[in-house]
Amino acid sequence: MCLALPALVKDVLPDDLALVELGGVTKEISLALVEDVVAGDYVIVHVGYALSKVDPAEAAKTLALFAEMSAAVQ
Amino acid sequence: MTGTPAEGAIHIRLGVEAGLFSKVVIGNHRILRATAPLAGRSGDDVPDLVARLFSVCRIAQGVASVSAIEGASAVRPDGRQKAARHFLIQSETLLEHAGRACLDWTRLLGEAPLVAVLKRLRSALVDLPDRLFPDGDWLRPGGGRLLTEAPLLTDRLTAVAEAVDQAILGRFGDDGIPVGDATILGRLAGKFLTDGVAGFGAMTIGPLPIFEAGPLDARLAADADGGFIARPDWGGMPYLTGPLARRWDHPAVRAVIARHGSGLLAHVAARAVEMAATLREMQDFAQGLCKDTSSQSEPADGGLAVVEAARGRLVHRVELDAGKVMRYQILAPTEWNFHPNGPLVQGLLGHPAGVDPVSRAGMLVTALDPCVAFRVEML
Repeated sequence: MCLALPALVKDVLPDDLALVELGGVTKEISLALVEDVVAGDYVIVHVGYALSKVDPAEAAKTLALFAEMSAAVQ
Repeated sequence: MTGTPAEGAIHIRLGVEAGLFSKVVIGNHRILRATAPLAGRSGDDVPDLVARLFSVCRIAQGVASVSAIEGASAVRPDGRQKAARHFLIQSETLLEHAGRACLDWTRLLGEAPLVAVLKRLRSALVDLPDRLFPDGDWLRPGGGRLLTEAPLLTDRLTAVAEAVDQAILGRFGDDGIPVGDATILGRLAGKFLTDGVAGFGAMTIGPLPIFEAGPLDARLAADADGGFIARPDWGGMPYLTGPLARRWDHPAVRAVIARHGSGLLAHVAARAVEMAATLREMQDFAQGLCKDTSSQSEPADGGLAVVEAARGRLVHRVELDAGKVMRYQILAPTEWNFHPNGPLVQGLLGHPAGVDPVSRAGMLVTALDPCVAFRVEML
């Protein structure tokens, strides 16, 4: 489903773009909808756009839940 | 658009013969068992976890979850709580529709995305759960502490209405179709008519009927292998869900369907009608928050909750034992619209593929609006 997997911002690029790591895959996304994102932040991404920044502690909790989910479905 | 394995994706492969779509194969790689880790947890904790798991329809998912938990544990929120939850779902629906218009519809028009408009709308709508429920307890079973800030909501909705009217909706013609070059939907409707694709994607499939709780609960209870959740039917038939299904009987939408069929233009007209209607309802709510508006929400029945999310009907079902989750199921709208014999497939098969079948099919996929990335390619 439309899962809220936090993506780690690896590099902020020109033109409101960024490289993020999402589920082990690095991809380019747009930061046009969010403000003040720097490398090391976590963002929630939907179809190529970062929708929001996530506090690192909250991101860790969510990633733990996803890890649990992945283990359960395999 | 490229699929994203981590969040799931839909892959659509097309065959064309004699200029018509002859084959449509849908590979649905969405993760349908995302609820597995909810088993064994306290029911009271589940709505927040559900809202954490889902990004796009977070509010609708959260409200469906808390309603299911309340239904299963015989907790009843009052009318004000239910009205506030309904308002939040509407804010999410409006923002989702606006997001698709500003990002996806502009792409179909060959235009730059309207990022500034979308940012303005997001700044007015995204924090509404925290504004209505300042303690962050909007998903607490039984309801949270609700704060009524009518002036703030009214100001926010005035700004939203201005942006939506100026950039997205504009004015409607006598036939209910958005017109004019000033707005996205006006330009898009004009493009569909000019390009001769207003009726493209028309189908014989009808809108998803209202579920009877008993039979729906029985179908889900018996769905041990997840087949119903992956490929849902009702009475053996596929159905359409989403804005066009919800607004099917609106006079403007009926007029478009009568003239052009239930294709691209009907999807656009329904979305326009829904955005305008949702905004009006939200403004009414902002001015009458203290009234008991319990009739706006259907009570959960047992552990079953049905919510109309932006993309269509969303069902959550929970089985509790002494307050612990034994089983949790979600039936999502994308599985109805991207069913192997559903609205997308029937909207393509036998229709002209045009000179660029992938782009043409992509327009219908965009109109049906899956909640994940999609990829269209030839077989």
